[in-house]
Amino acid sequence: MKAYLSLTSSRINKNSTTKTELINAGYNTVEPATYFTEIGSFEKNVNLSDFSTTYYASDTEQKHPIYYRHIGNNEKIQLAENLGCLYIEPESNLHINLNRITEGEVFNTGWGAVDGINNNTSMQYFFSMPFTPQINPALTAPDFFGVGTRKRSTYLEYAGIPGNAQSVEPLSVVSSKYFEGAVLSGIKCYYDDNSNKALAPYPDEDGYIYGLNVAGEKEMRLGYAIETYSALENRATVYYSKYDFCYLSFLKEDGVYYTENFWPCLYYFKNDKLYVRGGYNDIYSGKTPTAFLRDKDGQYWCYQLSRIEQYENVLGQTQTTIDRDMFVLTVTKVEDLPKFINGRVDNAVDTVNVSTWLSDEFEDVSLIYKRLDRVFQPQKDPSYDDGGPDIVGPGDDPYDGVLDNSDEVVGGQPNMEDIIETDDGGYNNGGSLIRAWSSYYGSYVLDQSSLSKYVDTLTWLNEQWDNPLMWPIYSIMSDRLKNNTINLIHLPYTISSANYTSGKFIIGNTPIMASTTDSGLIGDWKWGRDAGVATANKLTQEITTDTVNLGVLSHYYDNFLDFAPYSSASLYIPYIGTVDIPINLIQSTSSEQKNIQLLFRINNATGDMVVLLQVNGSTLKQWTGNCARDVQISVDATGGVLRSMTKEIVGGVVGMASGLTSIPTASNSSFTSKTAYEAAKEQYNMMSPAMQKANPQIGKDIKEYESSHSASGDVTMTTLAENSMPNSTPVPNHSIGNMPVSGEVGFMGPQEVRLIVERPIIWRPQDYGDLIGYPTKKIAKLSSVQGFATVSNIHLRCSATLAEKSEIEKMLSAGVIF
Amino acid sequence: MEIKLYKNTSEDRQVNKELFDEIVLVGTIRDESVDVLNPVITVNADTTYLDYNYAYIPSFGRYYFFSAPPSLVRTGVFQLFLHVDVLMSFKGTPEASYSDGFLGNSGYVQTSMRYGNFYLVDGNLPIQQNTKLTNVQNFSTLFSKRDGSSPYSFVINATNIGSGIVVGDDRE
Repeated sequence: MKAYLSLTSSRINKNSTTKTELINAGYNTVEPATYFTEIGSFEKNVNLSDFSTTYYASDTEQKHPIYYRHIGNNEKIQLAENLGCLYIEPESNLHINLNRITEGEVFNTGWGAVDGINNNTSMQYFFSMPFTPQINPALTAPDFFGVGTRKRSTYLEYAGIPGNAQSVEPLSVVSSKYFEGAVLSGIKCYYDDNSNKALAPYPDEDGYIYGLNVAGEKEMRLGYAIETYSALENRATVYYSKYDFCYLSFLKEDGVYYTENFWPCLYYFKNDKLYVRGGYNDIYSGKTPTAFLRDKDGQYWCYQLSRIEQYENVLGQTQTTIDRDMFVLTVTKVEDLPKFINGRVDNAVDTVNVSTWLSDEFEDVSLIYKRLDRVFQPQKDPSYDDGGPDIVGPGDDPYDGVLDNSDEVVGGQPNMEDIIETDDGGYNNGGSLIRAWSSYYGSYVLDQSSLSKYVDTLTWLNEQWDNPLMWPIYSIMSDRLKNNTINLIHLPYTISSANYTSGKFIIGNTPIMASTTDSGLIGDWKWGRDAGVATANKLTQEITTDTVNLGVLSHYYDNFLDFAPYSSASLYIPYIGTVDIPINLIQSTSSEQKNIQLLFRINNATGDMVVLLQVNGSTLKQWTGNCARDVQISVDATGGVLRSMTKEIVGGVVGMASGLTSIPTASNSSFTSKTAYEAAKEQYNMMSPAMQKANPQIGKDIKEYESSHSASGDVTMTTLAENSMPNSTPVPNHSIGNMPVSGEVGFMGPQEVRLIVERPIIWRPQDYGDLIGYPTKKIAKLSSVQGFATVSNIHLRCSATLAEKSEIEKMLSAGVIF
Repeated sequence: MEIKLYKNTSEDRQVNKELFDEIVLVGTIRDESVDVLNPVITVNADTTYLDYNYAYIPSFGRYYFFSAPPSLVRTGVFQLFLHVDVLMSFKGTPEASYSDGFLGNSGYVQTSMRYGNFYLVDGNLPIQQNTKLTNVQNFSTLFSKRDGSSPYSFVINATNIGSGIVVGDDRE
């Protein structure tokens, strides 16, 4: 067995002006001890001369040196100060591997891998690391390191800072009172368009793609990975998982990112069981995390979780395999990347030797906040970590075991047991519209073709002025078509094909023509036959649902300031507006992760929608709104408006323009010739009274014609044409192309949900706890109290005099040091 | 009686004082109207003990602060102005589990440096009202597409939509 510490970078340059301090090293242990039992203390500088150098075999230009060094048994890499620094240029990539090599096996703790057979470091396994659990690293070290980029530089990151159990966010360090976990990293990758894979980092070459950089401004084509390590409190076992998601085809037609690999998990230890969770209830809905775990008995497990029922598994109890199709990542807008992760650097940072770089990191607080405000959870205000006692929640009541806790006080944070479970299963998934489909009432989901046919039919019927025999019939049909059309609405989402079925396109018992080609025969009106009827999609499911996972909102200060009225949260919801949400109920606690999501339920026929705020599946709030926009169709189609509308739609252009739109009204003189008038009148007179009553417009037009021509006699076509110009009545509205619509207010706003969290900024004086003290409010035997405290309501029983007792009470009230 | 003098560097409000450099003075109280809480002791001695600031009088059972520097009455005679330290005097003893002092009593701990419940509202903690951390996150919905285009659907609601008599159907 051999072990190496290797450093690889695309651009390590001693002459660079950008300095990156290498702050980690490690050492190997006695074989055959299991792997690496300790990663050594931090050293700020490293001298490259301590390392041998090699290059990629194919890298003839030797641009990517790899520095490696064999680590002997019990040899600790102590890289002294003042031997020089490792200089790494911005945008470069550094990969640190602490490798254990056995024949045919590859282990690594960082990026990349080592070819164990040839003993040559290679990045060829960069994204093809074997996922067989048996050859994934399982360390016994309590601490470990990784590589990350910060402020355009590459840093090594140290694991093992106590804090909350969290999955990991790039550029952050998290940990747990149960675990000492670590994190990495936002390393850029090379993306090969030909092979559709991310390869080793060659940032200078064509095809290089930026991953999510520290500014979060490179949005597309992720070259990104997260590695997660967790160590049990007893430090007996380290769990490791690695996930990358830049693997292949990034963007599908529906805007969904896919990845073949998996999303990182969160490990946590609770009730003496190791849990792994992630995926469904995180913002990456449906994304399946996979974890390779080694339990205390040395048994490896592979967990794949994707659905809520498999959201949480107990290590060693279940093993689940899920169909790979369920692994699809459904929401992965880059800006939304891992915000379920707690980026806090919690207390007790100074317990490990990373305070140097942590302090450096927070020198420019505004920069950090600027970045994190856009992408991540806010970092903890470093001014809060000024010493003083640890911030502890109710679960860590410092009086436990010290005082008589019969009056146990718990913190103000609610847990899910406090939230009444609501029965959200009783949704109405179909209204009367659908049930009545076969008889009277219904809806069509129109695509470009069917909408065009509808418009063409309407237009065609109204253009048959020169068909003296048939125009009354056409007019009847036109009226039926219009009178039975309740409305046409535009919805700002795509109705799934699962919600409709194809069928005849008939409105008002009037078939929509499949073709409006005029054969010139009277029999044209036989388009009512099957072959002549257009098809359209009949709406069969009224409700469209959409779940927006908002992830987890973690505590920020871990004190009362995390709650209202000091902190507040609000949501902007499209077509609803901005609403306040109860931050006290949605915030996760140290013991309870609360997954927040919005459930949209929208009526496809009306656009009415209800939006439910749910926490761990329970509904806390709901809002109602409507996202439909009415499209004006109660007009005579002769104005060409609808034709224009279909043109816009067919062209795929759905824009928006505000202003005045002219809406043509029905012509008040419908006949283009006297012959047409006479033919119409003849036909009209042949109608039954009931038919005439059903078509009042024809009779009205005849009367108008007779009235307008009684004095002047025949009129010319030109005059008629002028007279038949539609009345233009300007109305304030907006339009899709030339199509008048209404209900634009919601459409004009953002179409994404926005979660807005406001926190106060505290200004905590130095030594606040020593001089002022933190609210305690507990009854305590004073001999059990230590340090500064103020005490009231004491019932003194001692031999002091009245004056002395009074002074004792006065001093206790003002504060004494026990 | 004995008077033990000490050097004390602890805070006045500290219950357990750290005392060192003990000196024992032995004498007799001549003034019978001594105030036990604020005694003034006249001492015949060659030194003024100006670097001492704390005392214990076993016969009084109390510890005392020097409420003022020793005052020289005349050569070889000076006075000690004392004030009782109620905390040190009546804290009780660990041997008796502090049942003989106020440390054996229970009290309502309002604030403390070590046992705070940080979810209790702390009115003393300064909070800047002029600044807020605002964290805005966007989440895609079915209304938005990643490629920038707008999803849409058109729905036409209608009556008499596909059953019954169809006008124009010559099969009727």
